[in-house]
This record gives sequence, C-alpha cells and structure tokens, in this order.
Amino acid sequence: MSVLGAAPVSPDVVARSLDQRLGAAAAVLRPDLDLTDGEPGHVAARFLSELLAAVETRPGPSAWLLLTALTGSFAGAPDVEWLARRLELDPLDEVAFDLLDRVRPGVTGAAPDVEAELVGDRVVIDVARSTDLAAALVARWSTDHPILEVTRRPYDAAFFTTGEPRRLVIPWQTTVLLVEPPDVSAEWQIPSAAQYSGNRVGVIGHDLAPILATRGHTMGPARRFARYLAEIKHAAVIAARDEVGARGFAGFGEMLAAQGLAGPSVAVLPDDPNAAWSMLVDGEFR
Amino acid sequence: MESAPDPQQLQAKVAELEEQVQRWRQAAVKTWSKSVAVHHNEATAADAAARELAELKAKVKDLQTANGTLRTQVRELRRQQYGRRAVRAALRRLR
Repeated sequence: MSVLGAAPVSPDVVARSLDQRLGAAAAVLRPDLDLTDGEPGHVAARFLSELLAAVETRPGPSAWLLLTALTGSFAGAPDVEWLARRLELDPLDEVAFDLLDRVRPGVTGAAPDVEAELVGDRVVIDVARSTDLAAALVARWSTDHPILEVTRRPYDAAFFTTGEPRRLVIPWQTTVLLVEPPDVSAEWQIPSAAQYSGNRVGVIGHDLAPILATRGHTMGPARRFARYLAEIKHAAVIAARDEVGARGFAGFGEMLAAQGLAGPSVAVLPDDPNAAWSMLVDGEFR
Repeated sequence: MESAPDPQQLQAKVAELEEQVQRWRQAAVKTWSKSVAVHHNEATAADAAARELAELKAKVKDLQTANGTLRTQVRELRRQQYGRRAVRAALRRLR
C-alpha cells in the first residue's frame, strides 16, 4: 500500500468524509433517515446501527455497499461474508463497534478523506490503463449510451472519477465493464466489483497468455493474472478478442463448475461497437 | 409493599441512558477517525521520508561518480606531469 503524494488529514475531515459516504449508502439502504448536519461523525455515531439493520444477513449487495462506504474501497468477499455472518449472530451495536475496528480506510489503502457517489444510471467503464481499444470503444459508445469512465491507481481497490477532486464511484445496480487487459507487470489491486456488489460485470477477455505462457518468466504475472481470473469468474459475460481466446475463456468457465459456479457466458467480441455493447451490457448474443 | 415505578421517571431514565449510549457512540467514532487520520498521516510522512531518502541516495551516488571521474582525471594529469618531467630530465642528460 502506498499513499504517495497524499496530504495530511485531520480527524474531523475523516469523520465528515465517512458521514458523506455513509449518507450515499443510506440514500438506498434507508432513504427515510434524516441525516441533517451535526458534528463530524454524527451519521456514523447515530445511524450506523440503523444502516446495519437494513443489511441482509446473507452476503450480498447491501453488505458490500455499506462496507464500501465505510472503507472508501470496494469490499472484498471475506469482509462481506464476515459482516453477513456477524449480523445474523450478534446485536447490531456490537457489530457496529467491531466494524469500526475492522474497516479502516488508510489501512485498506483507501484515502480516508475521499467522498463517494453512487452511480446507477450509467454504465461504469474502467479505463485506468488508457488502452487504444478502450479509448476507441468509449468514444463510440459515449455518443449513444449513458456511460461513466472511471479510473484507479495500482493501489486502489475501487473506481474513482477521472477528474479532480477524485471521488469514489460506487456502481449500484448497474453494469460495470472491464474492457482493458489487466496489467500483470505490476502489483495492481483488483477492485471487487463482481461477486457481491449486485452489479452486472462485462469483460473483454484479451488472452490467457500470462497464465499459460509462464516458461522462462517469474511467477509474478501468472499470480497476478490468477487474481484477475478470480474476479472475472463472477462476471456475467466475457467477450474474447478472437476465437482461440473464446475457447480458452470458455474452458476456464467450465472449470468453475467444480466450485458450483455457472461461470460467465463467453463469445467472440463483435467488430461492430454496437453489437459489442449489446453483448457486454445487455447480454445479447447474435 | 413496593410501590409501582413512576412511568415518567422510567421514561426519563431511558432517555438518559439513550443519551449516554449516543455519547459513547460519538466517542467511538471520534477515536476511530483520529486513529485513521494518525495512521494515514504517518504513512504519508513515511512515504515522504522514503522519497527524500531515495533522492539523497541518488545525490550521493552522483557525487561518488563525479568524485571517481575527478580522481581518474587527477591520476591522468599526474601521469602526464611525470612523463613531462621524465622527458625534461632525459633532455637535460642529453645536453
């Protein structure tokens, strides 16, 4: 984890940012709550237990959302499962106090003063690596469809707005597109946007080379690519760049039956950007 | 016989306890945000220190390289000086 270039923050700023993020989550978990201004941290102090009461006791989107708002970083599967289990077994106040111990931005790599916005009305597209393919597709798609380009730095486990100030983008009941190949040459975090977030995830599968062609290399790229596969196994669709890639990703999908997962639908990415959009976003295979 | 508790008193007690719980919650959040800020600021300072150290190391390396270059030049000049002296001495002997 690194916070290079980060400025010092005061506890009040941390508390106010937490309140803002929890407010964003409350807008869908408990829209009836009145979160009018109070001292820094008042939303967390007054309403965390009530927000927890709105979270399902099975691992799912509501637990993912609340944890994401708390940490400023997309909640990973172990944390979501932990929260759901605790909510089933323990009193809410106890869970609330334990949560504060467990989830601390800064420790998780997230900036503690970041504010968040829920995005449910646009398709969220990760363009962190600025590849030519992503730029071309986004340019075509942006004219016909509501999209939001998001970015992240290698140590971010979440999506952020591309402009300044950076705001955490929490996709909510929408589609997330991962159109770029993962950078396996460096230690990039993989935001947990697929398994429990409730969002539909569409992926462009570039190739499986990092895990197939490891001869003569260190295992770093293969290990990093394996983490990427662990994320995209929960995607709805993988559009491969070519027929060979499609066979590879389909084979990967079949392996997931051993884990009781259906695996993503796999097809070749159409040349026509509109057909690609239909496949990735609407799940239409022509 | 024990008299029945006064409902108003009980209500006041409940309100007092709720207020106390609220104060504890607020204190917990305050402690949390302080700890997060301290951790973040320490990490930031550690990164800044690491960056400064890396810059200093690079400067030291540059100076060492420059020093090495100067030493080589001095050695070469001395060799040349020695050569010139030897030539002058040989010329003197010839004369």
